[in-house]
Amino acid sequence: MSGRTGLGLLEVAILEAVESAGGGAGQPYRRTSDVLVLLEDVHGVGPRHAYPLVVDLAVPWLRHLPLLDGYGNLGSRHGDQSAEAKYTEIRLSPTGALALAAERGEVGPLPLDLIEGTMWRGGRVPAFDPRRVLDALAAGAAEAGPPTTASGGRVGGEIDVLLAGGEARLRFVCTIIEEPGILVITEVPLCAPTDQVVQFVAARASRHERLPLGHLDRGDLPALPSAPVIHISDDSTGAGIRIVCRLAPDADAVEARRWLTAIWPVTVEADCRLPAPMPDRLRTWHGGDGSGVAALAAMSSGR
Amino acid sequence: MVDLPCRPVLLAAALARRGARVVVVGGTARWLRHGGRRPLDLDVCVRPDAVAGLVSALEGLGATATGVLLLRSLDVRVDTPWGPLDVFVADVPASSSVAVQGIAVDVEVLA
Repeated sequence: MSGRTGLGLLEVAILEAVESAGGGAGQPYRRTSDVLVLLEDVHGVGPRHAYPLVVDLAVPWLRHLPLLDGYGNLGSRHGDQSAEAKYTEIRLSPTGALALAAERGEVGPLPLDLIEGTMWRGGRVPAFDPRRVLDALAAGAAEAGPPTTASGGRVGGEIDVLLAGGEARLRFVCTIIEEPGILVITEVPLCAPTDQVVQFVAARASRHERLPLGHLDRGDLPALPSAPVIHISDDSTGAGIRIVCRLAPDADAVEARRWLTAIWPVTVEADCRLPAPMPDRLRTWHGGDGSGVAALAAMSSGR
Repeated sequence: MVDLPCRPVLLAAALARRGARVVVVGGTARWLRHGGRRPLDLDVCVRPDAVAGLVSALEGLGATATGVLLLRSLDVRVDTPWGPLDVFVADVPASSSVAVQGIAVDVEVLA
């Protein structure tokens, strides 16, 4: 892992390949398949391995600060697959360009590992809010707030244990708002596809749970309570997530929220651990002349 | 933040309610027998001749799995509304029943 940005070798190689293909920040988009050819020629990493990572570096729901700017179908929060690489285009995002500059020593180091963690790629280190991390580093503070996810939602659980450097079980919970007669899911944390949220809430609300189970519904089994949600629809658009859960007429909204929150993946639990206590991570991170942090802060404030 | 139920245990009960003949193993078995850290997923063993019943039960829960896949791969993760389920198609270990919400769930006997 790079000491200047916290990026992995392949991540840096992808940024270099995008730039080599003429896809610098603000420059024209470049066909992703052309970038993948460069990656294979220079680094021996084939498209089947590299393309998923290219997509991960570009989509805004995995990282707070995407390193690539993509054009075309790069998949969706709903779980849709991206189009083939020959039909998508990429270029460096401003953050990606700054990361390359930091790698070359043109600006000071960037705390991308402190901000993004590793959960976006399946690891155990959660992400933190970029603004709070940068403010903490600038002020020499010992804390940068609780973990956050790029896609929103709430993070709870053993946050104090996590920040102290221990193994902590965290909960990542969808944002649920209440409107008359309905509960609406508006944010889904981590990588849970919204289609799966809809599928499993619908399954729990379906007649399988609320009606007799036919030959399996033996008299000695306790009856299951009715589900408080009687209908679910996905009204999401490109502008945002809106999964509408219509409540039964006699449902209590508080109980309905509890019922909804208990469904996986409306709530996902994960065991997380920081490489060191958060105060130590902030204290021991070296920003060189501070120019990288200052540039990233200026960029983040303009987001 | 509201308390969560132990979803792997509820999943085991839901499978048993629908007639799946599985034995709970792994972390959920340890939790049911000895307590400790709450499990994040459910591990079950199922004999090959009981795979069809498990697939039927999973369909009833809104989860997707096929008997062909389970019998071919033998070790399969299935996502469910109660969280991930790891299925091991194999001879089942010695087990005894534990009552969950009034339903008998077969759980591996641990030393």
